[in-house]
Amino acid sequence: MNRTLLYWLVAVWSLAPALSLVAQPAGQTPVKDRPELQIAPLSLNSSDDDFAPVPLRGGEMMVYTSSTSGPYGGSGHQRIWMATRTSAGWSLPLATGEALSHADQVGSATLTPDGNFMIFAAYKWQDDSLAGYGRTDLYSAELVQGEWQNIRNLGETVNSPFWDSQPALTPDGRTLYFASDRDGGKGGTDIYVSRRTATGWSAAVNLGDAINTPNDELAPTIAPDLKSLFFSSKGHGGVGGFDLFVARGGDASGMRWGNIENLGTPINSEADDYFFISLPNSSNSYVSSSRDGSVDIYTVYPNPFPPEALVTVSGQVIDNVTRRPVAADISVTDLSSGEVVANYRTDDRNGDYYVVLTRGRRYSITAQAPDYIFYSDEYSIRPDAEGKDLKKDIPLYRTSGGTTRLLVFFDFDKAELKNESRPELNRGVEFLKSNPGIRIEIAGHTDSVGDASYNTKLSQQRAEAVRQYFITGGIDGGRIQARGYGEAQPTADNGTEEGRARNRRVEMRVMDGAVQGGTTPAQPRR
Amino acid sequence: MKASFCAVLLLAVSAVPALADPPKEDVLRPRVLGPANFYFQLDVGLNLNLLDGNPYLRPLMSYEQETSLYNDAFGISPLVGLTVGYDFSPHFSLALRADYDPRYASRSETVNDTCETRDALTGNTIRNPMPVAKDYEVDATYLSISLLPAYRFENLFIFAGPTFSVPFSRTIRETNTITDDGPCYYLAPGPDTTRSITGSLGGSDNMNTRISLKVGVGYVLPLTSSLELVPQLGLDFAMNGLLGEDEDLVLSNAARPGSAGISVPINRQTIINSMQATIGLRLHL
Repeated sequence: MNRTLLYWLVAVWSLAPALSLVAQPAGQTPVKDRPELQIAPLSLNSSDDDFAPVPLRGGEMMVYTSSTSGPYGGSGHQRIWMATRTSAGWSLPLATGEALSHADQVGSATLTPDGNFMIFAAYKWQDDSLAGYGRTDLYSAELVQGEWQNIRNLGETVNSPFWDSQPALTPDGRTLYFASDRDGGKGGTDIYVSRRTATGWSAAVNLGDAINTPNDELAPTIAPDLKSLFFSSKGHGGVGGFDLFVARGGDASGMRWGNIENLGTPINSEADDYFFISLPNSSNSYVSSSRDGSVDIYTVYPNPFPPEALVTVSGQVIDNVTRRPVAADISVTDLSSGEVVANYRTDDRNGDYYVVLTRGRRYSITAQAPDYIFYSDEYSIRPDAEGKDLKKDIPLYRTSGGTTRLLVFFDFDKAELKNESRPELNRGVEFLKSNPGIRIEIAGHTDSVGDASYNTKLSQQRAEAVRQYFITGGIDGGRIQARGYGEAQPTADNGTEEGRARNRRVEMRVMDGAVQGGTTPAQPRR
Repeated sequence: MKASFCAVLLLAVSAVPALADPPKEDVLRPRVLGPANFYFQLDVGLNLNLLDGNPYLRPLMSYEQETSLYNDAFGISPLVGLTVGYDFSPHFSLALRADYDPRYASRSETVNDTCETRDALTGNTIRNPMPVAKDYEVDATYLSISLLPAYRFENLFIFAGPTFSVPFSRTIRETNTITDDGPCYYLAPGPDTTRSITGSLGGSDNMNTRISLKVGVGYVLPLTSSLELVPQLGLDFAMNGLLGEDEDLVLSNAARPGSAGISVPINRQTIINSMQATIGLRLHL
């Protein structure tokens, strides 16, 4: 061989690794350096792997996965842990319940914002009834009286005989992303999506070429505003190992993600980087990385990919008389479409609830519990609303002799029900159907603006409109009285706009006695 | 041929646990294939050796008393091993182990042989009982390479696999000493009236590469997150003989090197099986 040619071959061979670092291969995203970011490990990290953080309650609590030795498994067995932020830092982590310890590996949890429903991955259950469909599967669990119970396999529409893990649930609990190495993917591990249906979960769908590559994709997480999907990949280029990327877009089906961007350094390192987590209304974010050996959780400040501002609503559902907490279902309804966009549950130990609302929509938040009358509040979040955390306790009346203010809407000086009243009215119909032995009074009220007799008449018409809706919905009219009280029963000061708004209302009162009657003319009180 | 067949069979049997136990995975990784699954282990312990003459280390000569002396012997020798292992799953692992593996066995016993003398007056042959103290030892040193699949139940594990032992050296030594004052001498008639003869074989030319099956049980005692104490007890069963060919051992007067001697054949099928007791330190990377 010609000696000069040999020299060239050796030179190219030697320089190839260096050139590959400089040249950006086609189809691979550039890496941006972000020197302004501060990255620090959390004090709760152990010497073993710690990853997949799930901040709850605005970041005051943290659920995460660790393979450290604990009460429910020795070192090397992944378990779900929880820590609380205190003024001195993170509290001593606690392993979650014993019910979640009966498998070789349990972890990578995702929770609804209220922390009461969880989807997690598990490998090799000791209990054959939870054995699943093959290797690692996805499971759900509910927090009941402070214990994780009702563990269920998500079923064969989600799980496969292969490795199915790292679930990421949207805050509304309706869309599930996860990683799987099942056959039929793009290669290695891919990211899939499944939607909650009336009967379970839809068949998982591969997110496609925009996200998945012939290499591995892992650790999907969804931003609180649902507009960004973060994931780890070895197939989109980067600085080494698994790098974190963000995809934007997404449609109602959870598909159509694109515009992939590398999160850059120092979020990404030469080691493996996973699970980028954004907090709502916070500059903090989290990442899991093996840059210092074992996988640890790090804070990233400030969050270079902040989600849109969100409104969170939290409080307690309580018995209106005893003031004791009530275990209730919380539903969030988009009043424009009438669609229930999220279902949550209160913590049945203390009645706490926590709801996340995105901007640009009108919502109702409704609390319902057995033997209680439902109660709804309206939340109108402007498109330019700033992020805020609202506190609102929800009092519930027991059904017998109870009352609730119906979240119904009328145009000014009109008695025709507006469309956004339908979700609440339909709840009323369902309530009456499930309580066939009760009679109710629909009580219309106005503020003190205008003529009192006119107000009485208007309130009577509005109550009658509600009664008619119930009758159309299949309720016997004999069970419903409609009365207009006009301005006679204010609940707030009519001297302020806020007070007048509270006084304009329609109430549903459960009456004592047998089912009978019909429309009763208003008896205005002066 | 037989040894090769056994080796192939052992390898095939060794692969069964790997097929039955899927690779380890967890919720973070679909396959846990990393340096954390590699471990190194240093073992020290003892070989408790049992010689099997199969049927005799050497056949008996016509004048020797019928005895099982050469059929078995016992000895203890040190054992030092270094293991590189890989955990494929919480249950299944595969270890490649190299041992400095000396096998030593010896036995001493007094037997009543018979020597024939001629009555000088009558010319008749006289059969004289001859108490003889006999000592022999077999010392073979190997570098043993073992491929050991292991199946683990929590802390307890069992292992089985083939071992190939490359010979370094051997010594086969025997001494016979007539212990009474009778008329018998080993090399008489003649000038050499010795009552004690000895001989030894050295070198490794005629030694077989030893093929054996190792089975055993161990226990893992965690010391730290990456360090474990591992006592083990194993049995090593040889599949072939010590020597490639039968060999002659010449017993002669130690005081007269090169003098005449008595040649006894050494059986090539002699084997040494061992019980191996070790304690090891296992370091996970």
